[in-house]
Amino acid sequence: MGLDDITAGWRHRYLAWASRYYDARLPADAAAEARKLDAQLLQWRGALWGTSLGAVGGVVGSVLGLVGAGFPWPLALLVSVLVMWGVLTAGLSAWLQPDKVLGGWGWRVVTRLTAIAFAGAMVGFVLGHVRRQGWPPRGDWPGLALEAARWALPVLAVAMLGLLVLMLLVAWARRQVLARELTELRLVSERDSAARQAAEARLKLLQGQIQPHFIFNTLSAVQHWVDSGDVRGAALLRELTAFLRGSTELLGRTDVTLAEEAAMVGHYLAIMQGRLGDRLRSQVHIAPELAQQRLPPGLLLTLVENAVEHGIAPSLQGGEVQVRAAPCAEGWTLTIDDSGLGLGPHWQDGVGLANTRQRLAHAFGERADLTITARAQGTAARIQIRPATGGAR
Amino acid sequence: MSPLTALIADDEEAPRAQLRAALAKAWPELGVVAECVNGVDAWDAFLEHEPAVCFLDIRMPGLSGIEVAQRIDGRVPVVFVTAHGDHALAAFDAGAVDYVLKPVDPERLGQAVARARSRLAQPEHGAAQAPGVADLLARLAAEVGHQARRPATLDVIQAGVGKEVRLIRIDEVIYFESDARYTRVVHEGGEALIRTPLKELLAQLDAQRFWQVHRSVIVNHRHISAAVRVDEGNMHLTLRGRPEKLPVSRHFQGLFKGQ
Repeated sequence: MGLDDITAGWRHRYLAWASRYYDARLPADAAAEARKLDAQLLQWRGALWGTSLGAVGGVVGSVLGLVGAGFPWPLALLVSVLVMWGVLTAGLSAWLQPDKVLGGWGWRVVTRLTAIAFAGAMVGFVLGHVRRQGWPPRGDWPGLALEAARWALPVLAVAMLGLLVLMLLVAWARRQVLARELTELRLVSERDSAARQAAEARLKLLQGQIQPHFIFNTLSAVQHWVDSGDVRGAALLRELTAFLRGSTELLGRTDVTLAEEAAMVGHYLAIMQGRLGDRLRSQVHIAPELAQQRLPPGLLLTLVENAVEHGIAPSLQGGEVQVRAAPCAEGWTLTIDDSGLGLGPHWQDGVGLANTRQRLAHAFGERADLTITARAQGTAARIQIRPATGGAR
Repeated sequence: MSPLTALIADDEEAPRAQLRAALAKAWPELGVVAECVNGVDAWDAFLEHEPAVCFLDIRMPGLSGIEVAQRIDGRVPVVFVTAHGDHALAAFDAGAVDYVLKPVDPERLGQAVARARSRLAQPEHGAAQAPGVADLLARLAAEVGHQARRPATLDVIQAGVGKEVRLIRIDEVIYFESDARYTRVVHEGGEALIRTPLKELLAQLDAQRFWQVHRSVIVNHRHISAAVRVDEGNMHLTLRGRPEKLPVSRHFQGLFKGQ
């Protein structure tokens, strides 16, 4: 068994243990971070060996120093290992949970460690003293304790300060790294989610606009009129082509002019009139001064489709759809009136309307309103778009 | 043997004409006795002509093709002719209900015709509908229905009498009866005539409360006192506290079975 196998075995065992430990003790994000750190350290073998060698070197140096200062060997080893373990743990927890360390927790740990170390140092001094002078110690106990404390205090002050500085530094550095990563992540996710929302709305629009039943019902009529040599076939096919071309071109843009949108609506109404015959009558009137107003593509079309699909087509008598764009006291309005079936008692916004509201809000913010109201016979949809403040007053 | 008859219904002219032409080729001996432009006409024509097979569009004003099929209730084969590539439709691939997609493909129509013919050839075809079809229709109705706006259920009937318009609350109505170009509304406070045809009224009434018992009669079931079988094919209803007897045609006699 080579060295690699041994390290692999240990690595595996360590990871299994660590994973359980992290899950039990750390918040989810810190646990994930710890695993990432582990994986990196373990993969980067130099770091692992370096850390291990550093720790061993530290322990050896510390033992030699303590023995030189008069500690017995076993105690020196124990103290050194404990101190090294403390340093590594402190460093690691500072790395993994910088916020906790920079908060009150770090102080508490350091004070506690200090108290333990202080007690340890005093016991060590007393033991050393006893070893040198024999048992029972000569002199009075309070005097001995005082001497021990005096001896241990500066060592301790330095140790505590060192530990504290180490932890704070590590935690602070780590927090900087995390903050940077977080900002980056937030930026990326904001950009992603905005892009996704826009893409979803557009996809819904495309899917909603070119519904299979619309296409196949229209093709069914075209097919029959072509088969039977009816001139209406050619006209309907021409309108369908123009409508599909308009849809695929306009719906891919971020905005279109009212004139372009009205042209697409015109093709749609011509198709539906061809299919429904005299059950559908329609009028489109766009005030010439509004022709170049810009709006999201498909907005008007969706409302006109609603009027036809849910108002006129299900009505036994059929009816009329009137589309009007006109200036008003504050900005301009777009109205779609139909004399069809009307809103049922349990009517509520469907997917199409929700999508329309969302896109309207995205394009105009607070400046636009969409209202759907029942008419004596049928339904009225009204969009009001107010001018941007500053331009208006 | 009586000639084979069919009913076709589509609210658009071209697909209806296309279907008629395609059927003439696929099933030459089939006579189209009714071409309907909406669901209420289709149901009315079904009761009037009793065709052997029905070809129904799904999205139609008044009643949807599914609602018409639910009323036909397996008595004759139904073929949906629809532009919907609906998943729920795939379940109807055989049996009492079949479907063909628009624009109609002659080959696929040929298959549906073959199935309908073999069903008609079985002597018991009208006896019962294949188990599960009612459930499938209900599921399809829910799926298609939630997209479509329906005519509102009537709460009040407005009847012009001379110079005044009387408002009749729907729960005061005892029965409706077709009367030439009008519908007679018999209610607790008397009688009135309205212009809305009975077949259109049907789509706006609560089917739990108002039972159609004849092509020209819809009755508020709270006022029925008994169903009386006269002979093999004839049945009539007697009403609580009223002398008149209402006819129950063959299609609706199943409503009154006894328990």
